[in-house]
Amino acid sequence: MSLFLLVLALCCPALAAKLQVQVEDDTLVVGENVALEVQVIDGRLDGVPEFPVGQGLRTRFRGQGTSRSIINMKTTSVVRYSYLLSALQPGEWTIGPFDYEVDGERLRHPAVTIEVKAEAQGEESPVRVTANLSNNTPFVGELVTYHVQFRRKVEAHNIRWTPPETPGFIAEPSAELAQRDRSQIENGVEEAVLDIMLPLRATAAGPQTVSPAVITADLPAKPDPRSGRRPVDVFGRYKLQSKSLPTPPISVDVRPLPTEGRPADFSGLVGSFELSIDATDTTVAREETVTLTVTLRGTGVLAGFALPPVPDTADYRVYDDTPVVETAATADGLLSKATFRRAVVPLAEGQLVLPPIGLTVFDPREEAYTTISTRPVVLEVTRGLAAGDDDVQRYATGSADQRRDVEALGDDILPAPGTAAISDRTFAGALPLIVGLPLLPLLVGIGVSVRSAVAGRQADPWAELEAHPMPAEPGERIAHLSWMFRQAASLRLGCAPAEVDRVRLHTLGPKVVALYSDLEAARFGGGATGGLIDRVRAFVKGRGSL
Amino acid sequence: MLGLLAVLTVATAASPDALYASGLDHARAGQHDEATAAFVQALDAGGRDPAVYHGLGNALWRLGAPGPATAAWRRGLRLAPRDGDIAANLDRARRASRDNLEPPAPAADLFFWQGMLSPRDSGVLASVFLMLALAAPLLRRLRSAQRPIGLESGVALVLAVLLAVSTRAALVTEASVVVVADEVSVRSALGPDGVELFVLHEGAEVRLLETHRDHHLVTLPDHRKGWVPADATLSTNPSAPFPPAGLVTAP
Repeated sequence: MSLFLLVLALCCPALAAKLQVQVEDDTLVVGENVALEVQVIDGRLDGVPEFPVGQGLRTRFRGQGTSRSIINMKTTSVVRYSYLLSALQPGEWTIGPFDYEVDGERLRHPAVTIEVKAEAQGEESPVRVTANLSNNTPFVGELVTYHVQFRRKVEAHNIRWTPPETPGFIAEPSAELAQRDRSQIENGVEEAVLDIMLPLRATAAGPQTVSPAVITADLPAKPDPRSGRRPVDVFGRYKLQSKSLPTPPISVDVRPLPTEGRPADFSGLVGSFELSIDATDTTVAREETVTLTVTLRGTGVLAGFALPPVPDTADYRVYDDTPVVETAATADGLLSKATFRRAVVPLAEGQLVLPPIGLTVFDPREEAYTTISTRPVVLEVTRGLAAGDDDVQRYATGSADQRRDVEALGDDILPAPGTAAISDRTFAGALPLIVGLPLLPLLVGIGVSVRSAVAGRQADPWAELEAHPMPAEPGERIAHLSWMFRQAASLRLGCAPAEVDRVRLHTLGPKVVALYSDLEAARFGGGATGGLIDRVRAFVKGRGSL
Repeated sequence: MLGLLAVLTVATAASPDALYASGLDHARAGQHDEATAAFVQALDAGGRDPAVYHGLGNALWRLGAPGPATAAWRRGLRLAPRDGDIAANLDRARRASRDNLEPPAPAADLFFWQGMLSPRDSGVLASVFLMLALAAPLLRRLRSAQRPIGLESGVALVLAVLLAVSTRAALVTEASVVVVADEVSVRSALGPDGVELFVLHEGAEVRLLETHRDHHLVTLPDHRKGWVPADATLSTNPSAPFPPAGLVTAP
């Protein structure tokens, strides 16, 4: 039944304040959480309304809000107090009655009945909550650990817990709640485990019941029984459902400390303890300090505990420091460690034996009072400064450091340097340098530009070759034609004129090779010279090609 | 007097180094008049060196002329801002001054490096960076680089401009004068018509805002302003001529 159940009660005459109680659902399954709202119309309560809740239910206040509405020119204000109602045990349980005084008027609302059904059998729940106590029969003053374990095989969000009511116990203020999240594999299935350890100290003897603690978490909603699919929201994410999982109640029998055989010097400590002592040195000068470190560790509460005082004697004085106490809650109980630092100043030379420190505690394991003690500490006390040891420099006698601050006798100017290369160090003196430095690259740049310009204006070698005059003498003419050809060919081939040969000229074509052959024949073999002048000139004019 | 004449005669033909050495010798002999004359001659001979101003300030201080001594040391410190000895002497003079004035603050805190560099140093540095900015494209051209101007040119040019601006600020806006008269009235206007605003004493160093005819408009660190006769002050500009020894020692 998922419809809202509206329970409306008119608790007072018209035009007066009214009280309403709304429960989201009146039939719940163990572990199910629903909303419960107490509404005060046209009135206001002092504080948060409280009401009786059946044993199988639990409520948690979540907040309040106010709304106003105007209907037919009449203003109505509603103060809503919201609670989370959790079903913990099967059965029929009631909430209320609700009885409050609002603005001087008494408003009442009858109790609301809620039916809580057990979870369906046959299907293993993916979440489990267990709780145990490290000792179900502790002695008064003994520390026990309330251990809650939340195991889940599905993803859980927004996990929170409500501690149990612990009559006969108090939460130990010196130890913090320990919480640990881990995962473990059981039968091949991984599950997440949240351990919560709450240290409790037994304070009242007799049978007690530790009420259920409740773990509340947002878990994936159950699959639809018809489709078998898990419901999803508009974004395609699995819907979550808030669920409260109670732990079973735990019965405890707190035993009183035995009065028989209780020593007069009982320290009040209940637990298993060990006592040890260490000294910083075994040899100490007279009137100097040696520090003893006394460590008390065990499974009890040590906060506020102090070692029994040691009276000063003629042989030594004792100064106690503030102890340092450390505690840690474990599944086996609370482990405590107190460190006491005790400064001892020997007053006499020779061997000094510090007596052992003893404590009477009640050991729950032995169920008896026991005395724990340290070993005696033996110190060798030597001569000290107070004995007038001459080997030690004594500052108080006047034979020590006689230095003192340098006395200022006067104030004068500092001299000028004895040697200096004098020059004009003014800005004006450096002006030639300041102006000259940037001019250097400018001058170099101008020089490079001029050189490039001059290089660019060099005469065309082809034109010069072309304009070269032809000798009138026929013998010289052949030599000159050969020279012109070599010059032109070398320009074309990019080699020296002397390197021009037939092989190189093959790259310029058969006509050029033929011209070369004719020139060689005319010059050295007496070949015909007709037409050579025109052909060489054409070769030069054609810039190395025919 | 004959000795002074002899020093002056020698100084006209001597180098700044020789004049400085001569001044030191006279100072060691306790002849501070002669030392002052030798140092001034060294300055006039082109030896505008911090060491010369240091020695000149020392000699004037020994002669009981704290105002000119302060001006000389201030000039020396402007040429060598990192010279701790001159700074110590200047501090000594300021402590002895009757006017409890803070030294003129730098014109622009932006140019923080000017506190460690003289205008000459920063000017030469600016010139070097400008040379590098111009040389870099030339080197790139000789190496046939694709881009004629690179990042190094820009960085060097920016540094050159910054240093040039700070040098100008140090030369122009940080001008100051030192009172060399025993006491001088600072007036609201030029001449005797001006209202007497406040009085400065020998050794007081004030910032110079403006010079009009033979008067200086000066300002104090607390921004009070007024006109003082130019002949009652001495410039802290190291390039300015230093008065002859006789004038500065007998204000």
